[in-house]
Amino acid sequence: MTSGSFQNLPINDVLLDTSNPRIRRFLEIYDQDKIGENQIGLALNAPSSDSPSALADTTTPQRLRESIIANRGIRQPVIVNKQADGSLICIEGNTRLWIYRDLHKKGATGDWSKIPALVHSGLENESIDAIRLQAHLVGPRPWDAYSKARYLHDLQNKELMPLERIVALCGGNQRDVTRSIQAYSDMEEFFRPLCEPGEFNTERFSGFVEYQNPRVQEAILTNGFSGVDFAEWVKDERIGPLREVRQLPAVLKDKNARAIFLKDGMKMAVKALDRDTENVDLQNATLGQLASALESKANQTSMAELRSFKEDDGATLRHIEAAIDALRFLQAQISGDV
Amino acid sequence: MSGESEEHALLVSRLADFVKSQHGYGGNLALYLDDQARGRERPQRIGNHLPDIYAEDVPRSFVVIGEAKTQLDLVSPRSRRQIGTFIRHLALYDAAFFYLAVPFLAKPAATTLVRELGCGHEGVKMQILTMDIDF
Repeated sequence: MTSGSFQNLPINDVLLDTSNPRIRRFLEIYDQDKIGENQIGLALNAPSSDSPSALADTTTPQRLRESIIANRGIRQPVIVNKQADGSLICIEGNTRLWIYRDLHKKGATGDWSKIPALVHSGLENESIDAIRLQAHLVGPRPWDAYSKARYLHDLQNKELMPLERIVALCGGNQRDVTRSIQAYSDMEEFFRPLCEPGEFNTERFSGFVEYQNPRVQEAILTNGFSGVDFAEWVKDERIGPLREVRQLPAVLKDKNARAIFLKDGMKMAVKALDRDTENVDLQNATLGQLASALESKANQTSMAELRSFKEDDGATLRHIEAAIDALRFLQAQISGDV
Repeated sequence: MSGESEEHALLVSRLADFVKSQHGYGGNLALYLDDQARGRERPQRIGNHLPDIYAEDVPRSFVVIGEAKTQLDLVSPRSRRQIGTFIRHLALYDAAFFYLAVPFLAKPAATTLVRELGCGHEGVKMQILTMDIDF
């Protein structure tokens, strides 16, 4: 495979690739002769996964679009294959091409009529697969969360780039960007001074991201603790998996659980809290008690039970899926993310 | 939009302009606004209440909460609880500002309320913004 040549191609000269694996599963529902721009656009704008983690996907089509607008273009050219009949197929960067076309069609400010492209001629299927695999299955090695935060922090505080500009370049999510910068800043202020050389563990960064939740911070401060105390809890692993930070408001509120937390750590404190939820009549239980019991039950599921769930014609799964939907909605309502 | 919610939306919009002009000069202001605009990032809940405006600089050296109240809404027990929660939350920070935007005629009631709820939280700088609203 040659290295290809760099060109600025007119957007309408390049065909979107309907065989692209990302969108093929969506396009299969249509009559193959009737697939047009609209169907491809819908497919390209779909989230990249059905899993809940898709919500945390940082490169949603919307964010990519915002980032392209803020950048006034793409920095990474799309990859195009010039076929024997002269037609140009976009084999990598279909979403970016579609965004260019859409911006051009809607008359967005800027020149969206041409797109930077790396053009190869007569690529074999094997080479096309190699390009797709490298781009999507191996992909560029992502930075860890701490390194991303440090970079954003330095952009803002050393390069003096305005926050608004950073948010725009990152695809428009102000909360993610500010949380990341603030978490980096708190970790440097509270955590680093506690560490001996070589002891600073960037994997503890996610705890400081959780610390940005107003509920968590309010619970810490109103109970007479400080950011330094929090950093100490993180350092001495009194808070284990860092998602346990979310349990802090409930634990600090309960006198008994708080004492256990300070002495033995979060796991024991949560156990003490959960003890109150045991032996509660199902009908009279609060939602919190039910959720706690559900979590505990799910964690104790045996292989035999798992097998029986698989064989009960989906009766259990149906209830689990309905509960997950309802709880996820409730979670978003409570945490104010909607 | 009803007259009441139209008035509230106007107060929120003026309040946002005020916060930007007072605190946005460094280019580091993260402002969250609950104005029902589609796709806009809203503030997070403080206690059980959603403020109309939440802003802070990044990295944080101050926090701002802004609330807009129509004359009718201002005297409700819910507003009292809400404003009390916001002021108590702000008192946790070294530099904090609370702005209450009300129509001009509601200023006396707003002053009494803020004075009462702000008692014991002198570290929080509080200001009442009045606006003339014509319909």
